[in-house]
Amino acid sequence: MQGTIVENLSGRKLSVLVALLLIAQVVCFLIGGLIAPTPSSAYNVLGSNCVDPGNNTQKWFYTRGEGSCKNRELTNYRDAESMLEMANRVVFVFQIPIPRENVILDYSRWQQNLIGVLQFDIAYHSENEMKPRTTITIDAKLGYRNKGDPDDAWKPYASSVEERSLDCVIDSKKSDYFYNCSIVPLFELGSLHHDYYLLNIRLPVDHFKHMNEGLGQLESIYLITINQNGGFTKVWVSLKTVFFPFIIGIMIWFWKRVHQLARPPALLEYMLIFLGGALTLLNAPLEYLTLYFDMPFMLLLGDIKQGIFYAALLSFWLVFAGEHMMVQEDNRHNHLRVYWKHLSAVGVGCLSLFIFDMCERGIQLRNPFYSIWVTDIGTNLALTFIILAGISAGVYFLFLSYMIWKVFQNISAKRSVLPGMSAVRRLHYEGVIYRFKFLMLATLLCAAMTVVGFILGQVAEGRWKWDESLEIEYTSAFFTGVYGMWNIYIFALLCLYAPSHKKWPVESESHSNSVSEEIEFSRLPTEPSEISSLASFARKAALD
Amino acid sequence: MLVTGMELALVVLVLTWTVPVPSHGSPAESATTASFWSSNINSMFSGENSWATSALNEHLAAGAQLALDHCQEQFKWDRWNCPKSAFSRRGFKPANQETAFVLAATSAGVVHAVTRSCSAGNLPDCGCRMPGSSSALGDGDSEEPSLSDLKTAQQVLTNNPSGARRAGSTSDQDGDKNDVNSRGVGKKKWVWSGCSDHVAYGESVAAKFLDSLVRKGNDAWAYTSLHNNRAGRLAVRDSLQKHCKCHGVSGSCSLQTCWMAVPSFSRVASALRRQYDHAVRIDFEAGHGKLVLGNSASGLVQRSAPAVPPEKLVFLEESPDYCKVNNTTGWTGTKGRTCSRNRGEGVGRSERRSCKELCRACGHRVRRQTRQVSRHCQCSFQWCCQVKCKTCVETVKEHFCG
Repeated sequence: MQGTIVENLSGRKLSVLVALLLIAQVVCFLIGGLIAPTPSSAYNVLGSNCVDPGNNTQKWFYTRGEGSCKNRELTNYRDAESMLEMANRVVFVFQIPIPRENVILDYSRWQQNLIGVLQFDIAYHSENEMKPRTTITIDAKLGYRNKGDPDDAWKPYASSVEERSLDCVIDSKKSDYFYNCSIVPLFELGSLHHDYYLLNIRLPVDHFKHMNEGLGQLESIYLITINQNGGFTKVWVSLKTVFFPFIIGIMIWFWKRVHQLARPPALLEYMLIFLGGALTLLNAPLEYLTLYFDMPFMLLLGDIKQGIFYAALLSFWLVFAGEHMMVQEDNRHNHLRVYWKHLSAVGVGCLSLFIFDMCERGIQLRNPFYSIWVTDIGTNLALTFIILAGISAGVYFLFLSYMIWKVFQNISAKRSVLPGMSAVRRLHYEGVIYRFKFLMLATLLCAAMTVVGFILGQVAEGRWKWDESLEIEYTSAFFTGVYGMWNIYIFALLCLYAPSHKKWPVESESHSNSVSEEIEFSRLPTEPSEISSLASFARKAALD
Repeated sequence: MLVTGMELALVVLVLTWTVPVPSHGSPAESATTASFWSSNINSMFSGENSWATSALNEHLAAGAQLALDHCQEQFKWDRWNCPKSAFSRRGFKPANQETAFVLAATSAGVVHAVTRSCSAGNLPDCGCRMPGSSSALGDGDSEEPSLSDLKTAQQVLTNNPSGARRAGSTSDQDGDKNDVNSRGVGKKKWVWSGCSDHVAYGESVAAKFLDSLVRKGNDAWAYTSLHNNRAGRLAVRDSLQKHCKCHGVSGSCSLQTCWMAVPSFSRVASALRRQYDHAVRIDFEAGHGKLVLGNSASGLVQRSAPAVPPEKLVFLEESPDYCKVNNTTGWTGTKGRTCSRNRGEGVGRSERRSCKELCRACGHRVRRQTRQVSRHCQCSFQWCCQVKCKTCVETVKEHFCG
């Protein structure tokens, strides 16, 4: 004899609940805006040029501390003849982090991850002009050291010989002017477990393999290091820590309610629990573990968790719309396989993004210098998966819009027969339709924003976009706000779509006035369904 | 709900970004450091090497040298060819267009050199201010030297050896106990929200040291000097190039971080050259110009309504006739200067007109001489070094004013 809570809740209680959730939402924005710093910060590190006296590719070159090498200006070599070997002996050294305010900084594990990007300062020289696109070969070696280690105790972290392409243009060809070169993404570390890092780079010249022959007159190399800000991590993790028990709590409460019913759980209830589970996975504050363990897979794991959440959310909306379709073929609904066509759009999209992610960040676990974008095959492969995901997202959105349009059409069709009903029944149905429409519109808005954001984000992905200085600030407040929004949204769903336990007075058309004040919209006594009154309303109408 | 939330968040962000950072620099400290450095820059250009003792000072001098080199490059074909003496701090400099350029170029050179050294990690006391506070640097009046930079600079200048050694060693345990507190704060800030970019520090160093060289009189001379110093700093900031990297979910642009790349100083110098060509003369006495004298007894300089844009160079008096020899200033005139008759693409306007401007307009005749010059040619290049050059002997025609 029960519906869901959203139908049976009085207007006053509903507004109080919505107000509370809105306050929570505002608080989430404020936390991001007032407390958290920007999500990440970038630092320019100018490479020091050390000269390898022999051919010590095993040796570490560093610029600070005992046994450091001396920086030598590259310009000194320019006029010397028969310096063929020199190019192969210069090592660009980046020792990070660099000191500030006379403090020797070390990385904190709160800073989570590190991205390295190279920027080449290449001066114009009339006899050594660069082509618009040059392939360069970088011999990179990354090492680490911890506090308390001797100054020269650098341990290897990763090393690789990588090819990258460099696009350089110059507007006025005057000597000493720099080319405007594209940035070169070099590495991505999923964990920042150690205190100090050291990057040694060589640009080997080999005339047989035509290696690095097209490079112009290199003045200096900058390494731009990007790491997450510790403050942002702390705020983010705190947010997760707060949401985590709340969502688990409401899930337990929800599941208990469902199990108190006589019937088995409906599909929509399964979907809600699945959605809650996916969110709990996202909320689990695994970052605490990174403070003690080296977990380089955190970036990949974060992507996968996010993907599962998106999949769950998108599937839920489909099922939600489908379950309110009001097309009566009784038992056909309530099974996931009815939705296989629609859900396969979600599946294909998420799977292709998963494969893409495994190809990029998965392989980066083995080689942090790897990037799928550097080879033509890799670029095409990556683009294929991203476009596939984009198409799936488009197809999904079409499906969803169609279903929702269908639902609204059905509702307006049923509405035309409303005037023929008794006053109580009419009030009841109108109220239910109003609330359903309200929630549906809010959901549709969120769905559209998520999908649009998702596509935009993925389309903007890629090297060719990285140089553009987009003015859009995706700041902490935006992140915490959106993250809070989805948590609150799902909290509200679990709360409002839980089965209601209110015992209705046996109601008939004749004494409908006895409905208590608390109960604004009561259900028809003739309806045995427990899913939602709207669905049953539809069924009733279909039978009529 | 989402939209309003985003707007709200943006408003909040703007609010947090504009919160001013309190500063309490002490004027006494600034005075001592300034005089220390000013004496050094004098000695630098008179050939003594005592300035090389301090890390920061070295970089300040490097900035001045950078400015000098590029100034001479920029004014190679002009009547005024940027002599070394223009950079000397000795003697009173007339507030003309050339002095304006020299001040701005020095200021820009210091910003550039300090920024570069900070990025290389050679200057351990580079500041760590919050992003946002740096934006105030272009705003003139609000530009008070900030506490930490002044102190650290002071440290380096006065007891540099210990400071440099401390920063140079990589083990963290050898610090003195008094320093532990300030260290903790600095590192905490770095971990929590990160540090500002190095340009901000370069700007504050340039502002502090060069502005304090200007005798703080309430006169127009001081005003124009400070204005030109700021124009130099702005020239660097305006020439910065923004780069961004996306690193959100799966590498998408849901999260992106941007930074500023410092261009070659040639670019900054030619930007300043353009400002020199369009420098604004401040009509000081007439009162209807850009600047009026205050009517108060203290004679304070006030800026009137049509204020000079901060990036413009300003000057008070017309330049002297550089054709003529001036024995008091040591100017030798243009006699004997080489000029160029190169034509074609890539030859600047001033170079094309150089023989006319330098020689004929000054009443000299253009003389010609031919010389045999041997130089490297047909070199093959590598990215760092040129290798295997031929030596070509060329006959060059040179022109000079005689």
